[in-house]
Amino acid sequence: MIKLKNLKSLYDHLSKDRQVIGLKKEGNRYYYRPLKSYDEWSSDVLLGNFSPKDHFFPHDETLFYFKAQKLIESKEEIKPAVLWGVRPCDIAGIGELERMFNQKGEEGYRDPYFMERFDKTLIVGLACTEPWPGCFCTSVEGSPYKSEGADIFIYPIEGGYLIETPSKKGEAAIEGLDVEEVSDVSQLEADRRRAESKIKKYAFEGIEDKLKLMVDSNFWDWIHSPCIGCGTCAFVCPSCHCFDINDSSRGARGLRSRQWDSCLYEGYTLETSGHNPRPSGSQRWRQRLMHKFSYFPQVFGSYQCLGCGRCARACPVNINIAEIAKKAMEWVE
Amino acid sequence: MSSMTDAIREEARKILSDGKVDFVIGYAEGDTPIQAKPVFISRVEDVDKLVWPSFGLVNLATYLSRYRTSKDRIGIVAKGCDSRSIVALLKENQIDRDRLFIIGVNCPGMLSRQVAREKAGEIIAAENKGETWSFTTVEGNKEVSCFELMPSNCAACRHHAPVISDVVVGDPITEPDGDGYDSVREFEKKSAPERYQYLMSEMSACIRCYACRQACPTCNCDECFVDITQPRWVDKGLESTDLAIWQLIRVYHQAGRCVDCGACEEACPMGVKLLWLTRKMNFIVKERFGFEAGVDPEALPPLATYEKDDSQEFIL
Amino acid sequence: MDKEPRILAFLCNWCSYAGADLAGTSRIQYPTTLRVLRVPCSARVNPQFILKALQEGADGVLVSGCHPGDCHYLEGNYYARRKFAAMRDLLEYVGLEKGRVRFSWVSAAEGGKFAEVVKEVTNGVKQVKDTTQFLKKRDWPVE
Repeated sequence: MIKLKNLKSLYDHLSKDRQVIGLKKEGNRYYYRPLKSYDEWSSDVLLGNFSPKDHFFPHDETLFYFKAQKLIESKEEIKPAVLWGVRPCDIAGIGELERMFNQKGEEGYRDPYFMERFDKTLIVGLACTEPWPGCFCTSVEGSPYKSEGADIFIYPIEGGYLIETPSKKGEAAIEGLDVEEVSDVSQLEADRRRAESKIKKYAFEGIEDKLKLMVDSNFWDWIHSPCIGCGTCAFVCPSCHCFDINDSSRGARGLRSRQWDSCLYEGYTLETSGHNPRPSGSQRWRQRLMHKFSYFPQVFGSYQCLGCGRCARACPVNINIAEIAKKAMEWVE
Repeated sequence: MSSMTDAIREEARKILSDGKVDFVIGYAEGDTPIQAKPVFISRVEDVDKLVWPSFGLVNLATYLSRYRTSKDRIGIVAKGCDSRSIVALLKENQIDRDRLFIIGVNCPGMLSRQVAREKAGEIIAAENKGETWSFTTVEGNKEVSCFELMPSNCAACRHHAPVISDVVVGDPITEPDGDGYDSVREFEKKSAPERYQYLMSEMSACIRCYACRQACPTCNCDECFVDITQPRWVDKGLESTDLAIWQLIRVYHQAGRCVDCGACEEACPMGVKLLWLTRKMNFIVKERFGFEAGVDPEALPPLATYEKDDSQEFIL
Repeated sequence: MDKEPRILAFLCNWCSYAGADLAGTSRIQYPTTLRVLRVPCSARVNPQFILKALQEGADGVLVSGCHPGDCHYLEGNYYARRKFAAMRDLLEYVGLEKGRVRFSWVSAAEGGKFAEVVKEVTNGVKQVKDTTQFLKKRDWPVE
């Protein structure tokens, strides 16, 4: 690993030929936005209002234009970028989106829109020395010091920062940077344990199997009631990736675009015939919890919930997915 | 407010143990700082989960439309504004009166999480200090007075007492002077381009999550106009005029039904100032048609009726 | 405004449209700015039509119906009057320039009045400084 006294040199080095995107203060909220300089970066903020997923998976994305039967590709130029100061939970979220949008094998679906942005972005992660009360990443196989999935990862230490380059892309990116090599990184282990001890721990081991047994349980009728079906949780979540495709046309000309969607909307599964496979809130909440803690682990091998806690904070009725998962673990029919 | 909490718990305990209701909808302590948490209590043992919250800008009447055709008997904690929403829903036959037991609350006003965010920033922890709240934020400790944390709708409220109830808790509140619409009059002094600029810049933050629509009790159409494809009234996506029209029509559809409860603005993840529009809609309905949502259970909804001498100075 | 304004007009079949017809057969001259949509009653006009018209590039919108008391469907225009009052007040509040959205009562016998209404509304729209308010942005590629 290498050591740096301050991060500005790394920032300046990376921003030479890439647009840097990091947490920026807007009013009294923080969003991932393009930064003009290192000083615009809000380094003390852990998570920000929304996850950085909209850099790879925009909120509203034009897929193509059409004129009668002619298709015109969207000419939006995707520039090389740096996603700066992203926390391990959000990095894990990006990783899960990549697994979803870049499926391997012959029949695997590869989303060209997502992948172009993903391939052109360098992910610079930042360890969390002071987790906040809503975090629970350690309960879903995460850690405030997990560098996996980042191209470059920053660990704040006494008197500076330790920098790791988990990927070849990251290694290549820091070439030319004036650095000090260090071999003794043993203090990181103690730092990691200290940070992890500050995070609330839930016992979710075996939840994917427990939930499978609860498909017909009346647990779902019991927990879903306060949900107003607003979709905010899916929008702030780093790993939620559902989208709705819409056409907008005038005469024979128009465009096809996609927007974020949420499985908690009443109309999410509404079919043209009028039939809705998930007409009740309890069925929709069952779907959400099982997708995060059972279906996704089954197919992709990891919990889809990353433990960032944004949903509980953003939810107008303060529904906490961790508490619901906990209740599911404790549920006796 | 602990006596309010006790009073609410007592009433809920009574109606649950007497078997008057199947469950009670009320507020509980939030898991994260300064958040309201609606809760559905069906067992007497759980009654102590109910609290009278400080940050409680959630209109519980929004849950009632769900029970339109069911047989559940429902107890509900209702502030002044919430009770007016219940009247509006009763008027529209969305729920039966005889299935409801309304625990009315003389509400002195709520505090707003949105306002707290605006004044203090990213809040990690919060502590109630009586007249003030102390917030731990990323930028250090910040103390804000309760007065400063009050949202614009509670400051403008002239209906603190429930208009309909089976029991009432809390001390009666003297309504302040004035009609509460000074902010509307102030805004109308600006020029047209300034006002249009304000509309477009506020709505540009909208991300079409529909939290406002879902939080509102009277936004309860089976199929909302934005989800209709034949015809496509408003496109999906984030084009600026679509965003403005989405909210203008949503507010217009609340004419005579909106009670200025503040749930929409409080639910918005982007902090869009929706009350600025809803308060004008209520002002129009009051000035033009002499109507205020939920105040008179017998009055017909304003757009479902007319007077032969309605004002028409704008018609050639 | 330099070009001739284009005004979308919703005219109720029984009164205003007939009045417009009478203006024509009487050979009364009036500006050619209107694009007419015939509706059965002024109550048919959903306020969303007005906003959609502005989005699609109408410089002005006119909605015209029967005089109160004379509605072919007896009460339609009474309800319409309330809807239009609510909508126009809201639009004025959010800064829509005066003169872009207008309403009138024109009876089947009022050919002359119709012509005057069109003149008045056309002049009003010509005074509007910014007709791009509520115009929907479509940056679609040409080819």
